[in-house]
Amino acid sequence: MQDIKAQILPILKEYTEADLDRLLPEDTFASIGIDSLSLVEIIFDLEEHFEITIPPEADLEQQGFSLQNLDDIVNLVSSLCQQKND
Amino acid sequence: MTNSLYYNIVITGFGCISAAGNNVEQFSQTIFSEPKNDSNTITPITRFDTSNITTKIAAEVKNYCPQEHFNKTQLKQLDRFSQFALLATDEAILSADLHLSPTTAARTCVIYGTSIGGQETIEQAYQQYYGQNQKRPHPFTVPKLLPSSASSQISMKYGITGPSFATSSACASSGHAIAMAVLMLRTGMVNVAIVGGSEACITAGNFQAWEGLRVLSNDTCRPFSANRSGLVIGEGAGSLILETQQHAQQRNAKIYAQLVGVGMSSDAHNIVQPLAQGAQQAMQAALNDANLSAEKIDYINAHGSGTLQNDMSETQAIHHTFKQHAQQLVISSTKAVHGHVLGAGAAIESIATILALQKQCLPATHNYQQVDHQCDLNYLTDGVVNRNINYGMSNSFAFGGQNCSLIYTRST
Repeated sequence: MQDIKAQILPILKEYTEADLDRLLPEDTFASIGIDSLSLVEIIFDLEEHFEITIPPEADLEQQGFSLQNLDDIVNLVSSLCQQKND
Repeated sequence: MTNSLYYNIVITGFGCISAAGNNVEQFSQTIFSEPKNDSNTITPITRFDTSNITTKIAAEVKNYCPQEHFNKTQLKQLDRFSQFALLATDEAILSADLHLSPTTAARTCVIYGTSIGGQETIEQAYQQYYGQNQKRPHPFTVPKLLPSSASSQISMKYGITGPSFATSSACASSGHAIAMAVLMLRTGMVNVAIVGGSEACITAGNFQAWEGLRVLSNDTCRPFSANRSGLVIGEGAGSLILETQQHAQQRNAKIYAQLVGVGMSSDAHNIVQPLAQGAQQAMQAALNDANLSAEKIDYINAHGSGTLQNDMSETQAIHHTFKQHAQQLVISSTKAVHGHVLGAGAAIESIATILALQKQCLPATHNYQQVDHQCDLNYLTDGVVNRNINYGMSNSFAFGGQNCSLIYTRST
């Protein structure tokens, strides 16, 4: 999980000037200046980097995932990478 | 029907970027230069490698660095044609001293023409996808390439909440944008209109396709000259601020000109070959709309693309429309300087016409060399002339027979 997070951080840094190393769990993407359009790009970048497919938001919700903050992304990508490797 | 039943329309600002200069001041200096001086606007293509193509010239925007105008995040969402649209509009709004309150913004429209839209985005994204085995195009490919992205970007930047949309009618696109705005202003649907057109399609794939049509010059653009060899594609944008006269006067805006006549027609003939009757019908419709007799027109900024067909057909149409007055008209094509900016052409050439009315000076047709007996009007080929002019017409005749003529008069 830490390795995944370490790979995600440089991708996110392209879209925010916030200090990602000092994020609090309650810091949402919206609160650090990442809007919905940037999130579209981030999802695209994550899919390319990790060679995964992030499902549509409606499917994610059903699976209990969210895309509100850094922890959400790390959990989701970790899960999808795990599925890929199984 | 005359337009006396409607609101009068005035032009209170304009801006442009093209090979003839990156703002109106530079543009004015270039188009009013003497033909004997090479304006150095049509130059070897730098936008792509021309080694596999015969056509090696275009009218590219010079000294333009996108990063000087837009940040990295903005550039990810802006095709080159939207960049030009925003820059021309910035200048137009500044020159109009237009400040948009929420109430005014709701009574303002953005109507912006383009022939193609985000051509660079299309070619780059799909070349990577089909040619370089990239798994998929970037998701921003879609919002960048949309022909309506320029009008959207303008409305977003200035918070304009009235109608916003694109017009696309090939080389008459911005003419139709202006015409649509006039109809909306006259009927009181809006008080202010930001109109214009933008094009940025100097790309390898696009030029290969155009070259196949056998209408591109590899020499230069020589409108109405017997040895004309075709059109030269240009890039850029032109924006104008149109207002009802009442609205402009209420805010004490400077009025540069009035737009008094709009004429539109379709050849209903051929997808690339022009028909003189269609052009004639558009010019006559503009005269009727302005309630003007043909003798009132002093100057025509011609479509004058430099193709064999257009220049001959346009000349015939002018003869048929203006009859004995045709020989009294002064006609010029500024495309020899700024190139054929396709969907932006009518907006940029409207600005040329308004500048002529303001300066009481007519721009010459550059690059003319040989008399063509089928093009037998006064094309002002020797040089710029000072002339007392009251009414100027701007013509745009597009592929597919989509015609638009606009008549401007000087501010009084």
